[in-house]
Amino acid sequence: MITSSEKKRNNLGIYLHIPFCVRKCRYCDFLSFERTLPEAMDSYAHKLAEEIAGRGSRFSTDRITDSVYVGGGTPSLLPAEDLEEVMDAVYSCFRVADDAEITLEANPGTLTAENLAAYKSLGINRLSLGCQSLSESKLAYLGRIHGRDEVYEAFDLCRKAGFDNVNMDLMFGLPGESFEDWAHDIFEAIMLEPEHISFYSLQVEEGTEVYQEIMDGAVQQPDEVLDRKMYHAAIQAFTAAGYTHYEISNAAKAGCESRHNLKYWSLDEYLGFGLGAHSFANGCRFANTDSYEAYLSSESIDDMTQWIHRNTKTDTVKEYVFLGLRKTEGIHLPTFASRFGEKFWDIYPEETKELIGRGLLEEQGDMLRLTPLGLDLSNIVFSEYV
Amino acid sequence: MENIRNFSIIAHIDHGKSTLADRILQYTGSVADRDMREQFLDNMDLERERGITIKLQTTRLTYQALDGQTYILNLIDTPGHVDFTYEVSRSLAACEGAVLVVDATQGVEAQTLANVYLAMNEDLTILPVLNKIDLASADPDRVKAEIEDIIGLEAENAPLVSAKEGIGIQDVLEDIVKNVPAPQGDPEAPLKALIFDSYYDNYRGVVIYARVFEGTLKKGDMIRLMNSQKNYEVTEVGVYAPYPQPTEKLTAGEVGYVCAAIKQVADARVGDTITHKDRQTDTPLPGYKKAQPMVYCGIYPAEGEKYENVKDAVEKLQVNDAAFHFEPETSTALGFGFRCGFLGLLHMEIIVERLEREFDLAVITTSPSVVYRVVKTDGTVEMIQNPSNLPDPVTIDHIEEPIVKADIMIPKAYVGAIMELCQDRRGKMLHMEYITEDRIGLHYEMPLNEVIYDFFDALKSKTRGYGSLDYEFIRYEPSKIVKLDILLNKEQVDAFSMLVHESKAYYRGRFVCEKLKEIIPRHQFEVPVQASIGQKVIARETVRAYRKDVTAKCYGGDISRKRKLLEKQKEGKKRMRQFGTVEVPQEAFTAVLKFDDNK
Repeated sequence: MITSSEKKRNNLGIYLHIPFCVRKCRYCDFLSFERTLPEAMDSYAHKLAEEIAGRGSRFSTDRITDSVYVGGGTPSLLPAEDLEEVMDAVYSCFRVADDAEITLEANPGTLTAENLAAYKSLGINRLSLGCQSLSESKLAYLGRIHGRDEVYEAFDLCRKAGFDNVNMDLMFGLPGESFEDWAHDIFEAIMLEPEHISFYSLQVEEGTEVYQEIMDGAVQQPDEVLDRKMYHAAIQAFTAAGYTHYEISNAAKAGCESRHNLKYWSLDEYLGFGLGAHSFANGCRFANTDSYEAYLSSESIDDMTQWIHRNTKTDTVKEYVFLGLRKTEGIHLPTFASRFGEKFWDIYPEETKELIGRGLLEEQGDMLRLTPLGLDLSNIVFSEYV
Repeated sequence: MENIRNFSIIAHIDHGKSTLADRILQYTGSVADRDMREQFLDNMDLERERGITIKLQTTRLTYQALDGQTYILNLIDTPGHVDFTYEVSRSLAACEGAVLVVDATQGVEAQTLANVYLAMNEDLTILPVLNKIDLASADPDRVKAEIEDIIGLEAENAPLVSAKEGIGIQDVLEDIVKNVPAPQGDPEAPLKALIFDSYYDNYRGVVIYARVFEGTLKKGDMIRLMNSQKNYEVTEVGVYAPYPQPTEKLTAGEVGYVCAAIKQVADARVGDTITHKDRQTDTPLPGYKKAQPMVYCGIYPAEGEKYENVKDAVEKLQVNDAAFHFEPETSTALGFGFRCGFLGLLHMEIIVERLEREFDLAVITTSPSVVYRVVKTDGTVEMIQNPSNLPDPVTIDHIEEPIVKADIMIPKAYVGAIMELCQDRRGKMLHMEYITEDRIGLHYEMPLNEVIYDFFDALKSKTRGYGSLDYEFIRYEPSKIVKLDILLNKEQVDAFSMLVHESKAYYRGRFVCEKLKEIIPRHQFEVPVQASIGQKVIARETVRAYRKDVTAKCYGGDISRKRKLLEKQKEGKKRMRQFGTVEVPQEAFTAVLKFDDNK
């Protein structure tokens, strides 16, 4: 049996991007589009399986994969046979640990008992539900395809299908949203008892409908004071309900922290497959083309790769710091020193002293981490280290 | 020498002087059509963008006249803005004639007159030319009458020209050949040549534009610059036609360039006289003056370590620009920099833009100031152009400020708006008059510090571009001047201090506070922005503290995107200046200078 504890840092994560959605949400600027024809999905799945086989052969076979994440888009739209083709490619090309975390993103309104059973049989053991809210008006504002009832139904279906590791995405800070509205979402989310909660304030991205409305002055986002009040309330409530707030926007029951996302924040390596997918492997960052047509018609792995950047040591140190500090436990300074052969304080004495002085960072024992104020102003901290 | 004609083109701004120069170049075949670009002689990007000539250029043309003879025409293009009077006067001194371009749709303007007077001072033959006759609104008869009535020049036979369309160019050239006197002078006499411009060339050192009045100048000559009292060996002489062409010599009557390995930039001043070291002329040319700056401001490197680069750049700019002065100064807020003197605000803006574009430097400029005359209780006088140097108020008896005479011409319809503007700017009306039936001349005495900021812009905008201005210094006058200080988070920032008239202090203070509130980014704490006179706070704004700066989600493993955003944020911070605990973006210093009359 392969277990994930072997040479843990050397373990690989795998990300698979499924860019299809029933409808584009009004706030979304992710690489996704409305295309649900089965033929389109079939050919995409073929290409993805081809990429997995092609790219997989380039990576050393003794590395263990301890997390697979199928994200999107809406991966739960993919017909079970397409998903099977893709997952088979993963299992045959990589050494996937028996206890690997295998996550699929799913949207309420797209789940059925049948496809959940199929997911289970494909080894998927974690579901990430894009709920966003339990308020009909918030869901309608965001342009989600589902309502409040579908969220409850989705939870119910997941539990009945035997999924015991479920994440719930929640959004706050929508135009017009009151503290009261958010408090209801917090309460109802806790009552649903997901193992993991991602909660984040709406990030308004250029080019989206929501962006345009705000620019036109038609609506206004809650001001920063209210936004932070909402954020702090969520941390308090989730902590009180037994969750650990382990990253800026994430809380989990003990042992249910997302192994996959922790790889990003700990600068462990991962391979991304599919349209526009990003990878960090063998010390390089690279990304696939974000053109659907170019991806499907590419003739080789090199052909579909848009850019490759070999990280210098400095690159990697910077990334390690600004990603690592996203974790509430912070950076373990001895680990930093052994990984980079230099002490953190020797590289960043001035910046760090200043940030501690400003009450944004704190050093406790071997850990350097954001203070509660630092969590609210984390970009200011991070920008000192890039 | 009989066939040489040295002339300038003078005009009010926008009357088409540079376009006419372009056409003349094209007509005489000095520039191949394929090399022709708009405003050929204005070779700084800045000039072409702004459509104004800042620095004059000179060009030698060959013209086959209708009388069958070939003439050498030396065209000296001149700046057309009110700030550059001295440069205009020096280039005029190098000529025998001036072509006066008057816009046939607009008529005589304030600077037309000012330039005509300069030309008359140099005893030049003035040839009026009516431009833009292709436009429907052109009224040549009315404008001819204006030229005769207002200026007193015969205009009956003035060429009718459209420089834009290339109409009437030959008439202008014939007019020049027939009516501009040929230069006089003895090629054998002791050398006497006028420096009317110079610029710095990386390979050849200082390149001087000169007009030879007497004698002959050759490569290898030992020359002496009579005002700077320094000697040099000539390494090259030549002419611009319009590209530099070395020649054997320059003789009396000719215009050309001289290189003499001059490295000390201050040694080739416009207005100086060149003579031979061993055979000097008895009488240097008249009219040399060190141009007197009217406006001062501090220029500081945006990044401390670049002080040497800024020093190098201002030194190089000075050689092109006799009117630009600088000396080192120190500010508690900004560190080491320079106090710089300019002819006016436009001149200042141009220098700053050139530092940024041509030398790739980021600089911070402090509030511009005129030169105040501070009379102390002990009877001594101090000239103050830096607010920070104002002596202790208890030692001051009174302060005097420079007053100018402003001559304004406007269409009748705007008389109310402009009287109001002048009154708001503490102007005192001397008289007003009809120039023509629907154009009015307004004459004011006005404090220079009211003119230097944006008076010209306000005049233009309030008259839809038809107003014109010329001004000259007349005297110092006692005035109630106070020092306005700006405090950020309770700490005074000397770079923002300014001297203002008591009646304007509140308005300016409030304006600066509002501007800074907009521009200063939020900090972790509230930043009070205050304006004060002495201990008394007269205006206050607050920059709110930030509460949130966080990227909630880092999606899809796309770390590069996140990193780029953070790097951008860090870059933004680099462009900030730290004052105590407060960070101020560099644009804050220029933003507080622009103020808007509509407020």
